Amino acid sequence: MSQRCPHSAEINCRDCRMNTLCLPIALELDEVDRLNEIIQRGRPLHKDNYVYNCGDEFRSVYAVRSGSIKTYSVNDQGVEQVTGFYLPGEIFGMDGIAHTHHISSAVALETAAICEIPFERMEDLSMTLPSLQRHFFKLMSKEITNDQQLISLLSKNSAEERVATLLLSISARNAKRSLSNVRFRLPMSRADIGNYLGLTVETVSRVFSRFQKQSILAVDKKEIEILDIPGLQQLANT
Amino acid sequence: MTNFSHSQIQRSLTTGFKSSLFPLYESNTGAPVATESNSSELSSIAQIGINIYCPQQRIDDYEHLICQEVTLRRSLYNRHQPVASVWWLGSPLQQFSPEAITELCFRLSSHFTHQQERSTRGMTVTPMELDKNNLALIKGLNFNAIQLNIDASVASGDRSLSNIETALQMLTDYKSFDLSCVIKFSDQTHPGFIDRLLNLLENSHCTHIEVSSQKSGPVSLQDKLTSQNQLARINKHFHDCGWRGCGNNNFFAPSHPLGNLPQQTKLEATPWGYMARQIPLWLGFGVAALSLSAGNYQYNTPSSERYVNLLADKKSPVQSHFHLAADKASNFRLIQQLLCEHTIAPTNPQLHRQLTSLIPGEWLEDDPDSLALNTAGIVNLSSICDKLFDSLCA
Repeated sequence: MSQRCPHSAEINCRDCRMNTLCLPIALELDEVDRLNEIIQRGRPLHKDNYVYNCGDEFRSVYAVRSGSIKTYSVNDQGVEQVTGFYLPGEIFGMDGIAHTHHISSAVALETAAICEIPFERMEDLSMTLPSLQRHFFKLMSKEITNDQQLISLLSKNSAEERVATLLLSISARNAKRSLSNVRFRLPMSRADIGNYLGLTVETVSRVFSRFQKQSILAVDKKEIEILDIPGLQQLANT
Repeated sequence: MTNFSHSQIQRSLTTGFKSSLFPLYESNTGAPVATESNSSELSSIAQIGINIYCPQQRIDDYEHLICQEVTLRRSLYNRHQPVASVWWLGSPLQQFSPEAITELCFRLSSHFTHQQERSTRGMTVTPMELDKNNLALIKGLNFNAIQLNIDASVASGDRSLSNIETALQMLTDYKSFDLSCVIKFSDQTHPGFIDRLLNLLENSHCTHIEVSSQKSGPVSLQDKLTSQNQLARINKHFHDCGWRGCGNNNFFAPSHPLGNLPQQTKLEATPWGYMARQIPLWLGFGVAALSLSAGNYQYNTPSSERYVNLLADKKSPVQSHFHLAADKASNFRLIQQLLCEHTIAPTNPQLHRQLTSLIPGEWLEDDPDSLALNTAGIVNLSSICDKLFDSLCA
């Protein structure tokens, strides 16, 4: 495996193809190396492996290097509610920032590699790199804001609008990572999409079929091709 | 933000802790009156409330100064005490950047135990400050209450409500927030504007409205009468809507936890509003912050410069201490009863006589056993409280 493979635990922040989206963006090269020393990279996670569980002490936040992560919470009745999907270059685990523990669980949707950024060690590092901490909280606030805006957007619209909004969100996030914004693979199941959007699996499937009939999408299981971005934007009301 | 310096207290038409109860307290500037509690003596199950005071004018690194103060005053609290309420008061959205808000939330969570299920985490904002981004951030940081401060102290009848409508529209996306409003009004507020504003708020998910009469400097009799008529109209409006009134200016919708409490449930007027549950320790951090510990209030310096300098010298920013004068305990109890219940039932006949001589008969219901305020009495409650500041024979 090449050292630049995102799954490799040997990769460092300097080489990581996500470093323009992640913490190093605010740092000089030598500072990136110092940050790299505190980042913990374990072996790749397999599908359904947990990053953290609800109730775990909040000690770190995490950056997705490859693969994808789902976060979810479980309500008093034991019902699971998907709260987010995280793609490479995105940071998750901020649900613990205003608590001392995580209020949701995070699980790998497929083989994934993540970087763990331990808070305590980052605090120590920030004593000598003040720009790191400022940037870190800036990144956190942006991520939290984006997550909530998406949740809010998804909660109030029709089934078509919700599915279209989610697809456009994934498309925009891919573009940010210099990946195709029209052709991608959805890492999550239809059931997870339905749960996240507050729709039944059947409704999600019906909406996908309708979009195909309208020549807005081409769908082959999890492979998606957006054929008509303006049409999708119109459906999403954006 | 409320200024609790005694020299700043002015008689107000509307009731509240500051104008109706605080004058019963005696101040000591400088040295503390009572020794501050030691955290080892504090019960780890007693609830605490936290208020972060945020001046409108930006102070460099204010979030770090707040953290310094929290650390400096750690002997006041036990790390494991459950936090029942956290409010960011004043102008947090003007004082702090989004990243500073995020950082301060994180820092506070490492000092206090926040995970309590039914705890309140609120922020005061103005309609102009609110936008989709900061609202999403507030929600994402687990805030669950918003207090919208509306300045209607100068408002013509046709003043636009568009910025308030926009804010309420944005808040409809976040119905999980408990929404309350504080409306400042004066004799310069057109009744037509207040009517439109109240209708707008009642059609939102706002469940608590406080009105506050604002006037600095001397007030002419005519202006006072105008404001009083305004207050009477507002009280009648909420009475007709079936909202519960506390004092003469706080109104709770039937869907609010205080709005549907049985009348016999004991409420308490505090500097932070009417409450049904007792929180014995309130910690206030920041410029002009007010704290409550062991029944005594501590008031932080209202000067930003002095606050920064004191913390730089690792000194407490508490400037004044206030304690309830020993001979005013019964006055305090009676005023509390009047504010929360609009009625008092004196057990002592001498006190009953004294009270009936202090409160004009036309402000009382016709009930020989208790002294219950009628509509006119409620509107004039502030004047009644003023009369009860002198020693009573209870």
